[in-house]
Amino acid sequence: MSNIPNDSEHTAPSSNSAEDLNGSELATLRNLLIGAEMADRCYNSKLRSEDISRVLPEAVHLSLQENPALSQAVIPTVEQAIKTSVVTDQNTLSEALFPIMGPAIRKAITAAIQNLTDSLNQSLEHSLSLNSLTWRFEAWRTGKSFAEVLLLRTLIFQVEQVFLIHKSTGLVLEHLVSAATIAQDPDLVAAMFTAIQDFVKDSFSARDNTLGSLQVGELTIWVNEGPQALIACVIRGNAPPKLRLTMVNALERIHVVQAIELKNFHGDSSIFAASQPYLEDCLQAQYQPKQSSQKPLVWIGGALGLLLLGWGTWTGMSIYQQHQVQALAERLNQEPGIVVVQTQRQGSQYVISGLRDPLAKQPMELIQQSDLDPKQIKTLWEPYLSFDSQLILARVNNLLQPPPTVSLHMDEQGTLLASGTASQSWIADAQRLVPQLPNVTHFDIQQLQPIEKQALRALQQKIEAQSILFTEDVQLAANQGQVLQAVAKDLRSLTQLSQALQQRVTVLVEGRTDFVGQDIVNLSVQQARANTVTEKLLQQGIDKALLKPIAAKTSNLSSPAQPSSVVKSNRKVTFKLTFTQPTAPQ
Amino acid sequence: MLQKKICMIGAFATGKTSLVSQFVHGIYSDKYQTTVGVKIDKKSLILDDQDLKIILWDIHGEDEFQKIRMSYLRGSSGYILVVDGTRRDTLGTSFQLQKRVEETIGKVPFITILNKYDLSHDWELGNEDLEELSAREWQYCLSSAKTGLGVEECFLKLARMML
Repeated sequence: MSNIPNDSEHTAPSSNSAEDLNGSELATLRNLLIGAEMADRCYNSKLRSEDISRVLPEAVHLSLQENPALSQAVIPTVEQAIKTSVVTDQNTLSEALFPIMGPAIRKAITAAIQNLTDSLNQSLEHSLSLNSLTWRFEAWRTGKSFAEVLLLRTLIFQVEQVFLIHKSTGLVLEHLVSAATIAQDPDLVAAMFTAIQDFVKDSFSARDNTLGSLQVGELTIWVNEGPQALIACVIRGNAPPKLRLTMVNALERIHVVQAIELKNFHGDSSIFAASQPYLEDCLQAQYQPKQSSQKPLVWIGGALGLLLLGWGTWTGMSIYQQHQVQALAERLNQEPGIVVVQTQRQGSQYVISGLRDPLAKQPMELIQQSDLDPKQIKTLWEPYLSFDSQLILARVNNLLQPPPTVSLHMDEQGTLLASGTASQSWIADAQRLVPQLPNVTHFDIQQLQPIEKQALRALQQKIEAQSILFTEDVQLAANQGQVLQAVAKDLRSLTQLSQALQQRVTVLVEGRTDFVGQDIVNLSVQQARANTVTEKLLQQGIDKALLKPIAAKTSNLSSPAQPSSVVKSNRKVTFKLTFTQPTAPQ
Repeated sequence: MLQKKICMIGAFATGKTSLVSQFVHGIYSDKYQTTVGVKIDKKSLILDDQDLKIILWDIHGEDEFQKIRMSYLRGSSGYILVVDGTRRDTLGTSFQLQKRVEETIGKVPFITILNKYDLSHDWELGNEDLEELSAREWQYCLSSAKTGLGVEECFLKLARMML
């Protein structure tokens, strides 16, 4: 009796069950029926907990195998427990999840980066390749978008959408879409697809057979039916038969894993997120193998190389051209009368600007002598007067127009030296004009002979060599008239030359005689003969002022006897010219 | 979110498509366009704090030349029998249809919409008809797809019956 517990847990039943039995009888009965130890186990909570703990794991395992009620029952408890854990101490859950979260996040990031790299590579390849240019042309020609043409030419097939559809209701359980695909409302599509399936089955009495595939424009829809659900894949291009196998496998796995959910489906599709990994297997794509192993980066490298080469060539050409232009500018600078002030580039042209004497060499001659294209060179010159001796000389020549007999020379001190012969008038003009020229300090004409002076001397010699012969008296000898005419002609020329030279000339008409006889007689004869010739010349029109008849002075007037030929040749008149400078006016 | 499939059935030209159009898009067109086969529409709503997505199967009308394909009703959580109140015979059609539907998919919630209530002067249904509906324990409501009268209420009533 001492084994019977006295706590409230087992007093309650005793009060309910046996109204007509007293406490001791009831205790005796209980002891007889279940024994003291069993009673202890039933009513001692500690012992009972120990018992349950032994069978609980197996009970849970069995329960999960038979139905999911236990799983669903513990969901609120587990959720609440997690919430409480987070509120109490976040570190506990963080530490527990850390070994899982780290690799999961790394895996997700790696996958995302891989996708990004692939996408970037593909974009680069398609935007830089020769094919892309062809496809762009095709897109322009056919009016299609570039994306459409790209897809047609590079894609073998792509599963754009995968539907998991509940077979009887036609409701969407899960729907996946490939990247960059624009999908219509999956609910409507799935329902309409189911309607089509129903229509086909009814119309063709094909209860056990289903519509396996549909062709809609460039899209093909492949369907695989299971007992509870069907998978429909929307495919662009030509899918390989092995995709069908993938669909069947996915459908079978989903029917195994979510058999209960499918069977008990009442419109809540959220629980079918678990089937997503199987459906993702169906979301396949296959692209045309690359025709060339060249990577986009190789293209980029090539393009950059070409760009660099082009840039290098262009720069090299520019530098060479600039060097040539500089050389040209220096040559121009060395040229008398040209001063280059600035050389600059304007677009494709070089502009050389500076000062240029109008008498300097033409710059175009120098440009043409260089390797540069004259069209590339533009010159802008401001006119100026150069003091270079060559240009001064050129300017003098331009101004004075010297005859060929005159040579001009410029020395470093600015003296202009003239030599040779020139007319008196040209010399006079030169003397007047040269002082007006800039940078000519002195005009030296000492070596410049007037042509008229030379002619005057020649004429003087000619006239002075002439003799008018006489007989023994004061009569002209035979044939002297012609000589007189010649002399008269020369005298007329003399008059003109002396006037040009502004010199006063006097022609002494000297009467001569033989030395026979008395001196006094001879003197008178000399005078008479001079007068005769003067008379004759005056008759020829010679100016009287020019002529001065005199008796020639002879020191040996009464000289001893001479041979007769000499005596005879002395009976004559000769001429002598004297020049005097005109008196400057007061 | 719960998804439910609802089918619209009834005699031809009773206004099934117009009711769906009024309920889903809030628009009505006077132009009659007969439904060929089936049209699908969708309406999302919140009913008693429960997100609900209704997939509406608007099935072509039943007439002597074209019977409704019962396979379309497979998997429905409910259906709406549409009766044209200005054509009494469409009520008889709905009785026949309901029997066939029940034979095909079993007992599921449904509601009868007595449509075109805006044409009251042409109304042919009498009290005896309403009494018969009550006798059959059918839920029904009066509506007008043209004016929108009672349309949403009818659909929501069925939705509540399904939940």
